[in-house]
Amino acid sequence: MNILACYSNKGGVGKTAAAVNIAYASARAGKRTLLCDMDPQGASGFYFRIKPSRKLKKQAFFKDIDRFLKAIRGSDFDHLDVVPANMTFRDFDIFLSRMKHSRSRLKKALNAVNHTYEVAVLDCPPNISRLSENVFKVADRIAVPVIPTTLSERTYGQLLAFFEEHHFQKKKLLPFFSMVQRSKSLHKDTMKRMRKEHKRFLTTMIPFCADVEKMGIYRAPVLTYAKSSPAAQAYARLWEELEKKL
Amino acid sequence: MNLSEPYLFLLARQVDILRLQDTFSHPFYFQYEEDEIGSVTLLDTFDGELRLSGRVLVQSHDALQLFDAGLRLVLHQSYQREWRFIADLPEGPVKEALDDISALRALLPKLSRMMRTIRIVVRDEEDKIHVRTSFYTFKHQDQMLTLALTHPLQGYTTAHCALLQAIVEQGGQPLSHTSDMYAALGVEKQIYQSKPEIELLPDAPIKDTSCRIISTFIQVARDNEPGIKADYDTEFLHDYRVSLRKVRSALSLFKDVYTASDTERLKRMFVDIMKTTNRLRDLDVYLLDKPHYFSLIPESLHDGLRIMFAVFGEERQGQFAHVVDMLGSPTYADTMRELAAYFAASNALELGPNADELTLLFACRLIWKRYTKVCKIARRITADTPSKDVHRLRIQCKKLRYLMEFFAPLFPGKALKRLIKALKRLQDNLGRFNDYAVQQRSLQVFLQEYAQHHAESLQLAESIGALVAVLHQCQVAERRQVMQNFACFDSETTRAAFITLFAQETES
Repeated sequence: MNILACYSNKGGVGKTAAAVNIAYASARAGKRTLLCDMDPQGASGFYFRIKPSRKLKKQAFFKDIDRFLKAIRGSDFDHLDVVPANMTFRDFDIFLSRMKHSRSRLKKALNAVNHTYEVAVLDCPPNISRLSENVFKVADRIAVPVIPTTLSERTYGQLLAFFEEHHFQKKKLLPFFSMVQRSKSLHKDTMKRMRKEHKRFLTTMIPFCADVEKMGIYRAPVLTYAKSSPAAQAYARLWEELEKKL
Repeated sequence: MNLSEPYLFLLARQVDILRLQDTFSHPFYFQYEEDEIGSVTLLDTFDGELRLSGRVLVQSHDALQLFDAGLRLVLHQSYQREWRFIADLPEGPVKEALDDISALRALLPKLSRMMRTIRIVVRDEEDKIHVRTSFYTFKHQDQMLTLALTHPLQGYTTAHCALLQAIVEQGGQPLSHTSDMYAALGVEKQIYQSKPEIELLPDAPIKDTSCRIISTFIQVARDNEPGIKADYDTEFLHDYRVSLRKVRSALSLFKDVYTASDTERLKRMFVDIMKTTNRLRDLDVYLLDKPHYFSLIPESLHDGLRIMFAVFGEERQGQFAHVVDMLGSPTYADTMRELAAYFAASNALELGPNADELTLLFACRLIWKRYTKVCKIARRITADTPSKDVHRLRIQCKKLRYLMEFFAPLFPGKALKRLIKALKRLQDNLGRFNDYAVQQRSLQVFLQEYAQHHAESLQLAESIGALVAVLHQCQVAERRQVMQNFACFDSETTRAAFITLFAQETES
């Protein structure tokens, strides 16, 4: 099973939209895919019309693999299942720090479903925490959406520094430009500069698009209700590019 | 009961949608879609491969549906052109799922029905799907039969459970891979078998057993006649010939059950029938192996082969007409009736001195004798032994195999199967050795005859020359394996097994 995390240390960058559409694209390509919503806002689950499971208590997620498996819900789409977020996830940071072998817990939970899924997409909370560190360790690749602005440039730099400091593998990072408005010269200049400095940036960029915002209305991946829109096509290409790296 | 897995049911009626809908009250709601497919045909091979594997293949005017009771799923695929063999289908999930069906068997229509499908989706107040289900109803006059397949979604067990209960309440019977959907659909129970199980009694006189065995194989041959005449596939003729060959072997091998003169006369009658079909079978085999022949020689020599296969194709048409004429002739009908009558009862023919020997003793005696003969010939074979001795070994192995198969019901199944398997490797090796020899001769004869009537035959001669050379190499390679294969067969375990099964009875 390949584990692809969708992570950003900054909110509002199109992380959840990316996780949802990447997971859908993966399933559509015939790969059995599991989308794990680890963000307490619970947006990925919402986009798939899945109610968060109340039964899943914070302790149980990592302690009892069986409970984790019971939390899995089939989406309306073939090959795509979802583990919806649980509000108590936000307390995981503290909880995990108290646990022994905490880094291996997440990996174990995911290993439990290894035999059933080919791809796991992790929608991560937009912070640096014990949970995020767990994700950095366990993911095979980490897709990082970056809006091409000066502030985002700085934030990405901070992420790289964090990785270096804590000896996480920087080569897992797969940054890509998100919510791009090509009419803005600021975006164009920033992208040019960042691509020069960070060779790891993916070729595909996701345009800013009203269709993506409508995900909240349609409650489905963009590819299902606006497949010819530029954003939908970009997500499809993004998946293809990510798949090659996995 | 695993609620994450799909379930397949049979209902002897149309499903009551309104009643089903009542099962799902608020917050659930129900959507459904109906589709009149129209006339569909159920397809299977002559020997019921699909039926025996728990699957139903149904064809409408442009699509195929495969119901798999074992895997609990339904597969769909479209097709455009007329097709007869699985290999002829366009790529798709149904074709892929049927890759275990014999490539040589045509898919034949068994019956037709009118089909209708209903697809149901159950959603909650968030419009999230909780479960789906499909109903396939087959209608014939007043009778209806419905196949219901549930499609659960991971983690939504309540809805699935409610659906399963509702289907059961409407009379749904769960299907497993052994369920006979065909009987429910109205297909007759009897399935053709090329090697039917014959009940043999160890203490019956061999004259009775002989009648049973021979009658059975005469019937198997006759069962194939309509398929041969319709030219559905080449296996009909093959099974026909194998069955008659078994009858001839039984007559040869069951020494002194009948008088010597009757045995000869009857064998002659079967030989004469089979003779008419010899060339057609040869041509069928050539035509089936066409791609293989082309792969044996370089592309530069393929033109000659193309000429040869064009001639074979034409000849095949003539031979086929010849065989159809024979099968339809009054003489043939009379002959087969006469032969069947001889073996309908054990007193129809004059009996030989061994006729009353008890079956089990008779079987052991014959098998043991044949086995020792095989070993005697084989142990003398070295790398330099002439081919005719290798051919003798092949014939003896064949006779041993037939005897073991004829009398198999009298012996423990697993033990006998193991011995036949051990023998098979050697037999296959010897069979190929013989085939290569026969093919070389036959191709050279063909070339000579062709050259006599055609001025331009250089291309053909070159191609056949090359092919014969390759076949000779293949034959040599097979010859090299004989000693080793016999050594494998002649293991301590095999020897001990033969003694245990067959020698004890003869010694007692």
